[in-house]
Amino acid sequence: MESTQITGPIDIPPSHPHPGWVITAAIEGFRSLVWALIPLLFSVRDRGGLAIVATTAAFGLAIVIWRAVQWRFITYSAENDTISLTTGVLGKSHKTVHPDRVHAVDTVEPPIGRLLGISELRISTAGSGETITIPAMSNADADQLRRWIATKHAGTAATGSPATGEVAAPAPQLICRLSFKEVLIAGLTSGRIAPALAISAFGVRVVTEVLPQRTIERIPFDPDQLTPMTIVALAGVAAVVAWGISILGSVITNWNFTLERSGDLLVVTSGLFERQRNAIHVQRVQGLTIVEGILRQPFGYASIDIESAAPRRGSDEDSAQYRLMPFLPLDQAPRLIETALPELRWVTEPVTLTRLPRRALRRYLVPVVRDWIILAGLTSAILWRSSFGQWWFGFALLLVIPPLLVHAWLQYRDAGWASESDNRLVIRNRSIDRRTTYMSGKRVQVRELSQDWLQRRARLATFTLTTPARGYRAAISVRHADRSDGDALLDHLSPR
Amino acid sequence: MSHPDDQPVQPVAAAGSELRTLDPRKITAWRIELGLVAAVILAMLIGGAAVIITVADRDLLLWLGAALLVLILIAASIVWYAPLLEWRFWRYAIRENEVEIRSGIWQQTKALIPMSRVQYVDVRQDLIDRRLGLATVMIATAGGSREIPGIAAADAEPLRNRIAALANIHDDL
Repeated sequence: MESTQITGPIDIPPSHPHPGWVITAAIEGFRSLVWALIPLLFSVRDRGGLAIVATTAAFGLAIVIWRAVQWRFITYSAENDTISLTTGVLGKSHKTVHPDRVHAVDTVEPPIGRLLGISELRISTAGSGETITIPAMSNADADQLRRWIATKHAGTAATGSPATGEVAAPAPQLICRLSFKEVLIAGLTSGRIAPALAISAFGVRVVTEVLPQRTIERIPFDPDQLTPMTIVALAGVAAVVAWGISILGSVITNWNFTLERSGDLLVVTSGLFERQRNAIHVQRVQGLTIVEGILRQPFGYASIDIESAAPRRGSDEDSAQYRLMPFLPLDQAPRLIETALPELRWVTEPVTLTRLPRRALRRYLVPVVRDWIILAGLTSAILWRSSFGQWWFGFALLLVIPPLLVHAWLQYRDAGWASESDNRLVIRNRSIDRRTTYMSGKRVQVRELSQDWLQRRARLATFTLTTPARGYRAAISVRHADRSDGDALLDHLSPR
Repeated sequence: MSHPDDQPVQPVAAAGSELRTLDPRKITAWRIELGLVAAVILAMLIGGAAVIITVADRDLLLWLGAALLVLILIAASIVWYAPLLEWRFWRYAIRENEVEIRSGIWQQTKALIPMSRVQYVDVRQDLIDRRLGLATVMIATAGGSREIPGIAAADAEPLRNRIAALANIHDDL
C-alpha cells in the first residue's frame, strides 16, 4: 500500500521514461508488424520462408533501434507548477498542464511492464480533454508524480479553489473486492458474445491456414451436404466457443477488481495481465447507470457505470464513462452507492416512473412479427428456386419470433422515465440490457421528439435526449411514449 | 477579456421566434446531390448488367432491360420529388432560449437545442451550395451538432452571429 503521508512537493526535474519502455514499445510495435505479416507468411509458406523470417528479424531490429532513439527524445518533468512532456524525433511535441487542470490520473500496467515494474501514467486534463501519457515510469516515480499532483491540489484547495484531483487523503477505504467466484459469474453472465465470435472466427481462419492440407481433408466435412441443420449446429458450436472466450476475457479484465474510496477519490483497480488503476474525483461524477444485463437480470445481478466530467468551464466537453462496478447483486446496489458515492444518494430513493401507454405495446410487437414473416417468406422463395435444401426450411426462421416477441414485450414493460422538480432525471430503457440512468436534467444537450406516420396515428412519439460524452454520441431514447407525455418531458427539461 | 455574463444579450427580432422555411433553392441543391448518388448507383447496376449480358440468353436480357427501365423511372421520381417533400417539412426557429429544428418526411423530428448548451456556431458551404448562393449553419453542442441547411448565403453570417450572441459565445481574439 502506498504511503498516504505527504512530505511536501518534491519537483521532478526533466527525466526520461524508464528504459524498460524501449522493450515494451518495441514488443508492441513488433506485435502489430506480426499481425500484418501472418497472412504473408502463410501465403509463401513453401517458398521464400527463410527470406520472410530474415525480413521479419530485420524489421524487429529496426524497431528496437527506432524505439531507443525515440526514448532519448521523450522527457517529462514536474516543476514550477507545470507538468510537461516533450516527445518526437523529427516533429517535436511539447505538452504542458497545470496540476489544477488535472482531471484524473490513471495508471496502466501492461503485462510486460509488470514484469519490469513499470507502469504508464495517463494524466487527463479538463476542458481540452487532452491526455498526457507518460509512457513508462518505475512505480516509485509514478507514485512521486501522483503525490506531486496531489500536493499541488491540496495547496489550491487550501487557498479556496475547488480541489481537483488527488487530495492529501485519509487512508483509502476498501468498498468492494470481487472474489474469483464473482469474477467467474460476471464472465458467465456478461453476454459479450459478438467480439468473442469475431475472435473465434479469426482463430478458425488461422487454424485452417496452419494445419497441413492432409489433416484438414481428414475432417469429415462436405460442403455439398451442408444442410440448414448442420449450419445451426455449427452456429451453436461457434456460440459456445465464443461464450468461453467472453468468460475468459471478462475474468482477465476483472481479475482482482477492487473499488476504494480515498477522500474525494474513487479508485478502481483491476486486470490480470494489464492492471489498470483509475482514480475518479467524486465531484465530477455527473450521472450513474445501473445496467442489468440480459443474462444477469434473471439472477438479480447488475453492473454500475458512472459518467465523469471535467470541472468548471470544461464540464460539458470532457466526460468519460467508467465502469464503477462490473458485477454485483442488484439488491446491494443502494448500499454500495451510499458507501462509495454518498453524493448521489438520491439515486437510491424510490421514484415513480411514467410508463408507456397500453397502445404502445402494438408498436413494439407488430414489427417483429411483420418483419420476420416477410424474411421467412423471402428465404423460402429463394430456397424453392435454388437446390439448396427444402423450401420450407425458410419457415424455420419463424421460430425466432416467440423469443423476439418476449424481448419486445420486455422493452415495452421496462421503458419509463421520471423528471423531478429538482432537475433529477431518471430514464429506464432496454435495447438488450435494461439500463436505468440517473443524471441531472441540466446535462441534457439536445432534446428530440420524432414521430413516424404509424406513431402519429396512435398519438405516440419517440424521444431522444443527447448527453455529452467523449468519443461517441451518447443518446438516451425511449420509443413509443405517449405524445403529450413526451412533449411534457421536453418542456420540463427546457432551461429556464 | 470580459466575462461572457457581462455582455448583454441582443434582443430577438419578433419574426425570429416563428417557424421558418428554408430557401427554396435548397430543393435544387438536394436534387443535384441525390441525382449524383442515383447516377453512381445506376452506373454500377448497369455495369453489373453488362457482365450478365455476356452470358445471358435473350429472355433474361428482356427481363434485365425492363427491370433497369423501371429502376431508372423510380430513381428519377425519387430524385425529383423527395427534395420537394423534404423542403416542405423543414422548419426552424431561433428563439431567445433555444433553437428548434423540424425535419423529416416519413419520420418527423423536432429537435430543441437550448442556447445555453450551444458551444459554437459555424457557417459551411459546399460546392453546390456555393454555386446556388446557399450556406449551412451548423450548431454544435457537447452532445453532437445539428445543421440548418439552405440559408441564403447573405443571411447565414447574420444568423450565425445572432445564435452566437444568444448563446453568449464570443470570439476570443
